[in-house]
Amino acid sequence: MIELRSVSKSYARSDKPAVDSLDLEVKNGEVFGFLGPNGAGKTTTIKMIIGLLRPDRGSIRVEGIDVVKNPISAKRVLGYVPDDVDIWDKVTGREYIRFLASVYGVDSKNLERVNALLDAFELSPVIDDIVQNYSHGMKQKLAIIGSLVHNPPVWILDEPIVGLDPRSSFILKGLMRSHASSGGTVFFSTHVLEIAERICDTIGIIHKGKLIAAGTLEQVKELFASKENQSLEELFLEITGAKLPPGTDRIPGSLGWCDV
Amino acid sequence: MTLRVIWFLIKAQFNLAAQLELLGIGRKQKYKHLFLLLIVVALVPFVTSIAVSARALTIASSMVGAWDLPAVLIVSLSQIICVFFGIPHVLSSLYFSKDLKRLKVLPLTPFQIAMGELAPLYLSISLILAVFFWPFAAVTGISFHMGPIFWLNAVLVYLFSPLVPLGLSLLCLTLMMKLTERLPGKDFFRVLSSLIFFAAIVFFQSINANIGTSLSDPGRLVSSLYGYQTFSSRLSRVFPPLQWAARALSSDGPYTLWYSLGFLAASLAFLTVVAAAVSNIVINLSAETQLRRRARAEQIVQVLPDGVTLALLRREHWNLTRTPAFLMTAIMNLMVVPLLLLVSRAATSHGPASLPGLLNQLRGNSLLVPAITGFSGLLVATNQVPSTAVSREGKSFWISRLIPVPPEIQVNAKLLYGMLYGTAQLLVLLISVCFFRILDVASIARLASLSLALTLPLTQIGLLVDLLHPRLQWTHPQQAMKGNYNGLIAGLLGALLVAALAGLFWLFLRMGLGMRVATLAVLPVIGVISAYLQAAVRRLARSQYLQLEF
Ligand SMILES: Nc1ncnc2c1ncn2[C@@H]1O[C@H](COP(=O)(O)OP(=O)(O)OP(=O)(O)O)[C@@H](O)[C@H]1O
Ligand SMILES: [Mg+2]
Repeated sequence: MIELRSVSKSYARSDKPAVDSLDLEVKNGEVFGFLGPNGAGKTTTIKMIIGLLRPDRGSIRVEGIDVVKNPISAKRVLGYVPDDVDIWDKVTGREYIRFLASVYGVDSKNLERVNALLDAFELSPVIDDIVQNYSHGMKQKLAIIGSLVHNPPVWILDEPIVGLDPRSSFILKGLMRSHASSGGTVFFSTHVLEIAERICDTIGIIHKGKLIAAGTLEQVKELFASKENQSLEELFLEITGAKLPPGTDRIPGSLGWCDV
Repeated sequence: MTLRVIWFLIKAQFNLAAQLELLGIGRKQKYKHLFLLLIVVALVPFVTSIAVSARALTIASSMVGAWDLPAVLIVSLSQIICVFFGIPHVLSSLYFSKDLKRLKVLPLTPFQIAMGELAPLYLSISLILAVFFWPFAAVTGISFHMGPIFWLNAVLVYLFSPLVPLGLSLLCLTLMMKLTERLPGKDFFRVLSSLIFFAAIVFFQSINANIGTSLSDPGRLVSSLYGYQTFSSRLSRVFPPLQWAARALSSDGPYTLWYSLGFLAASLAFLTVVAAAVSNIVINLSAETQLRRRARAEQIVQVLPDGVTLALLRREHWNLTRTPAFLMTAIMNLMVVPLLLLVSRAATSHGPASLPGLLNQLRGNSLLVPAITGFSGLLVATNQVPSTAVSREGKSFWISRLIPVPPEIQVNAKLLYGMLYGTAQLLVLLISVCFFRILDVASIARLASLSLALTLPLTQIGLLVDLLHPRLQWTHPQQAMKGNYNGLIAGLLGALLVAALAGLFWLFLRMGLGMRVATLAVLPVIGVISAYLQAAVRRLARSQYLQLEF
């Protein structure tokens, strides 16, 4: 469970808040998709939830634990995949996993799952290579597996699909769903609206630091109901007030056909 | 086309601002000039000492009638200098190069790329060579009253001296790359080559010092040079153009121009042939990443998790020892004392003021233990390991922020690692001290415990400095350790602490306390300081791990 209560954050040397009194609640068993245009404040919000940034105002709780007042306990229940993965260059995949298992206090019996994941993501053959030699997608997959080593109830992913091949993104989507159905919470940001449409129970749309819509897909659609059968893409464009450059054709209909 | 590429690369290589940035000096114009001035000032004594040695050599060789000795030495030492500086340079620009990847996508032949990479190297090696060559050649020319042909020859020999060494380095590199094609340890070679380089400097130092000690006796000077001369003649037998170059510099008759022209043509031909032959191999091998695919049938991750502190220590150790730039600094710090002793021993093995003689005189001096303790303190204070411990994590610092390990425990692991490193330094020092047998067992025990106690506050100071203002946004590891001001600041603060403790010790002695009592009295002071510093480390760790934002 994730709860944000009127959370605000401004960066130094910037007068506009990156996140502006955000209220949000994601329940256990839910996959929550966090949508918004570039620079909307998605990464900033995520970094506040996992404790990399401190909110200026407001409170954030994960599984009922306040992340500012009780950071260490909060970190135990969180798994995080960053948007650009900077893992230590000079450790091998195995050493990275081993490090995480050690600091989270996971014993080797519970690492069976990690083995299955390494196999599924096809990282097993390179597990003894140093991370420097990994491709971008391989690093990302290692970060994904690393974030699950301690089997955290709350799983937070910042644009996890970008850079993954179709097979891996398919597996990841399955993992996100099964994480939620086994009672966990999944919070991820994305630009790929079809994915949000397909796997999210609830979505939130953030624009210029403010949450302008949240709820199930149907609720959000109702909220802005102007047309029947509007696609999430059209809705998104409407809500965020996107101005198309002159001469751009609107692609009609839903993009739901795109089987991802 | 080739020329345009070469020119572009020269400009890129000599982008001084970028180089300074790498050293952590920043882009400020003011510092740039100051830095250049410092380099020039640092060169003055060096150039002077070469000129003085050259003067002594010309006098000596004219006394014994060996007129061509200076010329032979100029030519052969130039070659050696170019080889020693050339190999690491060639290695770093062709083996570890980043812009090689960019060049490879351009429509250039491997030969063009190799030449393009070698041209900037040629310039920087020429600059290094100038520092040696010109004082030597100028003194020789003036002493022997040489005419204009000599000077023309000198310019030609100078300009073409680096070519053969560059070709040789390229050959070495190709050989090395072929041999290590299947090995994972690319980084290992960078460290290795730097160590070779360091050893070369030590070697030169000892030659220099040997020449220096025999300056007063020209006969002995020549006899000590005889060894080098036979070495040189062997060198020139393998490669006759070197002999031509030496002939070109040993008189000023017009016919000598033919010698220098021969040298020029042979050098140019050698480099061209080598580059044409191996550039293809080098360029293709160097851009390959070495994946170590080792598929395993059984269980993939059979990790037995460590304790938290052990895991953190391992992480510190991997980061330090697997990043070549960090490892270099760490190894250098460990080797400083033995190298210092070795060099000064090689340099002064005969004279009355030799190192063993000096140490013999010091033996039994009661101030020896506190003095060596102070020295070891200075070594630990300047070792840059704790004072860049946070900075070295760089952009991966988010992992440390994410894991559920309290900051004070993480920082304590860094402290422990710094202590272990400082202890290793201390051990090397103790072994060196034992080697010269200047202290009895009781004194060594006192030295060890006192120095070990001193290591703690010094490591804490380093950590405090780095915690206060870590440098995390680096792209090149050099910026995190060598080019990090925190190392300097921590070194200065540590030196202050050592000085203050030395003052206190002196005060205790003046108060009439005996040497042993004074030593015992300093220990609790160190303890109290450490306790205060530890509290500060703890507080700063908590606030900084929360406040540092990404
Ligand atoms: N380190 C920083 N310093 C100053 N401003 C920042 C910093 N990081 C982000 N911002 C600003 O905060 C706002 C929100 O950025 P954020 O990274 O949260 O957006 P985002 O929704 O993740 O965008 P994207 O979809 O492009 O990843 C932007 O206006 C950005 O300019
Ligand atoms: Mg983002």
